[in-house]
Amino acid sequence: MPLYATGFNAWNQLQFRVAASDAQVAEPDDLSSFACVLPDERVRRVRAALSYTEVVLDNGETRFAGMVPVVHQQLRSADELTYTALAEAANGTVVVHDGNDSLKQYPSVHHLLSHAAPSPVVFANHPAATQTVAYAAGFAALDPPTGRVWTWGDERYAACLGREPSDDSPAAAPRLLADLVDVPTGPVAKLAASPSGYLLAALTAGGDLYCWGDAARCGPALRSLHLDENDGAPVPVVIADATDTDGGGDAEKDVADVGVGDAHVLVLTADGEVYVLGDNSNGQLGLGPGVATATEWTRVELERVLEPGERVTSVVAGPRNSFLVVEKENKAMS
Amino acid sequence: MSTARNKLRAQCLEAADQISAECAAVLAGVGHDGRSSSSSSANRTATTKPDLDSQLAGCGEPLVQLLGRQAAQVLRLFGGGSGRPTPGQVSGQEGGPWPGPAPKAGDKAVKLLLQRLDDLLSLSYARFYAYLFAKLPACWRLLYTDAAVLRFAVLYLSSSWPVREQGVGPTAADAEEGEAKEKADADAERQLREMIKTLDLAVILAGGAGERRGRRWIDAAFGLLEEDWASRRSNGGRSAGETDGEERRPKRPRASRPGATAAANNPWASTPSFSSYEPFTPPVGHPIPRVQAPSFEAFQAYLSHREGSNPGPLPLVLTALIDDWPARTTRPWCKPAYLLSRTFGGRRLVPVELGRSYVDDGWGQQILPFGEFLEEHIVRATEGRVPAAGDPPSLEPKSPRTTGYLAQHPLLSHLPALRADILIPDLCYTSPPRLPRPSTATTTSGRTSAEAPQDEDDPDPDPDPHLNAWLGPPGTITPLHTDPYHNLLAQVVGRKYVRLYAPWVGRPASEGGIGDGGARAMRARGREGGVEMGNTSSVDLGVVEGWDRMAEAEDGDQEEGWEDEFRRLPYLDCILEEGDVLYIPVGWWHYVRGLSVSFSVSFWWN
Repeated sequence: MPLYATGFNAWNQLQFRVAASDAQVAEPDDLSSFACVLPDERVRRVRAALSYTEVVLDNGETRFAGMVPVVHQQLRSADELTYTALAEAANGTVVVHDGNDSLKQYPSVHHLLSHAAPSPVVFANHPAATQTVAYAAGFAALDPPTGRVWTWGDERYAACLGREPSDDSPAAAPRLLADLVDVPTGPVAKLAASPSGYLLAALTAGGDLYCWGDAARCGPALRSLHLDENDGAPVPVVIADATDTDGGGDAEKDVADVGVGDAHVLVLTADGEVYVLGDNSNGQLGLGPGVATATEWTRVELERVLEPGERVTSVVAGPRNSFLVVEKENKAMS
Repeated sequence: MSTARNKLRAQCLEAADQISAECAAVLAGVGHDGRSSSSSSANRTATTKPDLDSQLAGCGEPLVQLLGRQAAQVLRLFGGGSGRPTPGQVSGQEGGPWPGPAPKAGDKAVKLLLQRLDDLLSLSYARFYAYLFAKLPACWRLLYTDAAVLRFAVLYLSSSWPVREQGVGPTAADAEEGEAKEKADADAERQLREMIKTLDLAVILAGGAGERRGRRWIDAAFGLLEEDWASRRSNGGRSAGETDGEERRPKRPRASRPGATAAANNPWASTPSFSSYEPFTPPVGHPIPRVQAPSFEAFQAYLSHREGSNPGPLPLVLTALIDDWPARTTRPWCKPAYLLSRTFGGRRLVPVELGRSYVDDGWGQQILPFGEFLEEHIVRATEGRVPAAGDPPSLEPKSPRTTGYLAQHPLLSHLPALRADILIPDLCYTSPPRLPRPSTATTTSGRTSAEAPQDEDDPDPDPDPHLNAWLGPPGTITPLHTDPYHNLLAQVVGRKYVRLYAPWVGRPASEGGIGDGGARAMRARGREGGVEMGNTSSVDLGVVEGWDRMAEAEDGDQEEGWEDEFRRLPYLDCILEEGDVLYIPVGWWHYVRGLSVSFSVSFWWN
């Protein structure tokens, strides 16, 4: 499963094979189109942080590209599980699961590492399988079997909570995002957000995508998500191929995967296409040089990117870059 | 080649050299425990240099490294050598030749450098929003400022106007005619504006953070840039003629020294003043007493004196206190031409509040060139209006133009050229009484300002007063609110109406004290959208008094009849005339309304 990538590359985080001499001399430029960055590996998982990319392979090995902050190195060597599940928001706050039934929130990653005062805030009754994602000023947590989503964070960005904060439902503590409880296409199966962004996305088991977040902070490039049209509650996102007029109209596509960056989104549809939306100032949409933004969903021309017989199996967004995990068909290539 | 140009070039390269070295030091200082040297007390004692800038470490190694690499790249591209220049190369400022052909703005390496600096600016700026204002770690403001300094350096060193003058002799320049000359001028102007914007945003957004660079560096850079620009203009952009230090700003009328009183000597006298158009004048119901400039001792005695059962001193209008300010005489703030001359021809950026009042829907802030603010929001808002007969009634629909108000901005530290035009009154160094703590302490300002400490208990350990400037057209409104400071509001230009309610308003004298500080009687707001608004009243005084129309349907949960009750509350008010200074004791609720074009300076002290 090769890995393709595009976008922000200031620390060579898209270059898994950089000659040491090159890294010394040239300032690395961004990639403006998807390019294969790990050709011969079977990729299981990708972590796309601001300054580095960590890829876990099927054989359990890990590949790093870019520059890993020292605190992340330390956390990883101290407790790999905690590191893997770490949610770190741009306001410094971090949340980890304690392995039992609680989420622990620390004022900073330094507090987590050093156990310095103050002691963490503990939120109980969150099962061990809980997946937590950070946005710039808070968090969302998903309990995979039930598909329930909890949100909490800075009250100033109430729209990122997807719920109305009140005395009964305070902003600062995890509370159920009620609007995502009984959605038509089944429980929420995945959450996506960028730890320095203000957009959150939830994908249902049945392939429907919902987004919510702070419209002002997300900026004009994401305006077509209409985040402010539902009083801050999640809005359904329709991906349709406007150029495909066969069959007499825009067919709404099921969504198979989603990645959310600081100001861009990429989506894998059930029929294997990749659509992108938002800011492209670092090339994160892979639409080529000279495209500043995509204000409407735009199909990535995978036929120009992938080798014959390759198909995208999942998508990942870093804050300012994007990744495609690709599978080669078992059949011998024609 | 002008001296200013060499100095500014050297200053840019020196900054890049410092940033490069500081970033390298931060990266080298990451200890075995992984904590950076700035956050480890054990290492800090070993560090010889108690350098604020090392706080950059708080941004994490990747961003520090990225910043350091861009600084090194500036030196590589513009330093005239292949790598970091020797110290002599950087500090040898006078008369050195412009090194080789400098890379141009369009070069690939320059574009990438600017892209990375923009990345650093947007990444650090994003933190300004993610954190609560008061909790933003200083490192993000430092990172923003350093990235802005480097961005300015790249723009300046790669711009066409200094290089063109150096490389192209008068003969070639003479051939430049008509359209080509116009285009070159427009390009130069555009580049200049971009340079100014880069540094002004660092001051306005990041407070010009940093000891070695920061505001001091930025002020110096602006001085040299203006000098260099003036020499370019005076030479028609054609030759690299020498610029005499005495003729730095040839386009300005030479201002008389402060103290020279002969109006005839004032070169600004013949330029137009702001309009005195005043569309509406509210009646004064309970005038604040007026006294002529009291002595320090007399004012101190006034502050300490308790009249009757009042828990604190009362407001007072002080006259003849600022008559000797240059801003009111030889450097006239009532003259747009003078103000433009002090703001790089109006190019310097200022933050402007757009909308009637900061509690209204649709209110927002915009950063725009001072000249544009002056033209759009002040001159054009009042031109063609005669103050005499035919005043429109106050309830006539306002012009569709949004009110723009340069409010609560530390303009005088932002634009030091204006700072010399005023004198801090001695009275700001008196020791005023502290306000007894309200039973519900909510004193955080609804406005936020880099200059306004937010700590509620001890808002100001600083002995020097905080200066803010307030410049706006007729009709600006600051809604009823309190500040955690004593305030001297000096009216430099135009007229303002001010109404004040005591912090013990609505509380029987028999109860003494200030209770909730007037929060109930003033119908104080609460927390709104995660922002504490308890220092601001929900009462729109202009609407209650019938001076303004209701912006839109007010929320219906107000009980009937509250307005009558509110109108019965005791208050003091006044119209500040030019030259008046209003003393507003700490904790007093005040409503401020610009009547004409108005320019005021407030001094907050404790």
